Amino acid sequence: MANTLSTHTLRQKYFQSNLEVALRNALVAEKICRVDRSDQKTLENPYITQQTAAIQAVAGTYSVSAMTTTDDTLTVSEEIIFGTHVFKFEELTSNFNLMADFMDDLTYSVAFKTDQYVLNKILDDATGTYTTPAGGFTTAANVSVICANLIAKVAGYQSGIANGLFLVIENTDVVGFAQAQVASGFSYADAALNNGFMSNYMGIDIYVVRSSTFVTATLGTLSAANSGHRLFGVKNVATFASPRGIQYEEKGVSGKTGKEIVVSAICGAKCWAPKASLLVDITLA
Amino acid sequence: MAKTVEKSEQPEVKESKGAREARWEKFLEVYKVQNPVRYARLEAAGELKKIPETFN
Repeated sequence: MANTLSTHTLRQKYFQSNLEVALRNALVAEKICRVDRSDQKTLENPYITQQTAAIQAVAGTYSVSAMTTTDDTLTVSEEIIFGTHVFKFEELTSNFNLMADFMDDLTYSVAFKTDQYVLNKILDDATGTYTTPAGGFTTAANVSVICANLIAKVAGYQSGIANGLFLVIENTDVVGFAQAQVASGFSYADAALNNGFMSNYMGIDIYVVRSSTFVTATLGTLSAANSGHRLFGVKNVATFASPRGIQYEEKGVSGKTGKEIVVSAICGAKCWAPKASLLVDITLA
Repeated sequence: MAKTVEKSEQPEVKESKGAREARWEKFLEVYKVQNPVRYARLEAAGELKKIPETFN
């Protein structure tokens, strides 16, 4: 007959010295945007309305036309913030460094929400449009067709392909992408078979985010209508401003032992008007 | 003599919309002002007829 043994009679240990964290999403915005961390509330970037030069038989005469400049502004308009409190008795009696672990988790939380905002904002600013064939990226046969069409959207500009292309897809799209990769060419297919999902396809850097990163929802002051959409474009065309990056405060508060922790960031994002056609809003058919 | 209104002639009382539907309509109003060009495109494509799952 088995003995009845209490829990603490049996051997146990803690697996690690830090609290385990939930799965964290990949952060993409800084890889595709120009990032500004200076202490600016607004970034002004006025642009010239492009004129068309006249071509004529040699005559030496011309007429004078007025030039036009237009203001274009990126405003740091969003604040991403989370606060919590760690009591002294919790700190003293915890097996873990609660302050450090909570700070780390809140920092990720703020970073992810910032990333999600930037992706949805610049997708909303994009003026290029493309609708995929039925099945979208999940159908392997569509992948090269989609990529070829997207490249054509931005080819021929000085700020085009040479600056580096990116495509942001969600994890559900990898199904078709991965199958297309292992069936493409010889050495590329071998590399995909040996190493798994390749992060570059037809010269386009592929970034994968989790599903429901592109949302139809209110994100701060942005009303985003991006559910079922993906983003393609030229790198560094959009700008993401986050003065001083992610900030944290630890403060004692009256009436409570321990410390209050606040992690916050302020940010704004924009695709500058003359370059908005270099970002393509992809609609999944 | 006051006219007696038959039950079938009484005006229909419309069902009150759910809170989520009301938020969706408000969202569309705001989005139409924020990005009228994209709003028109999405509306023409029929994407704004159904509330997406990501909308809360």
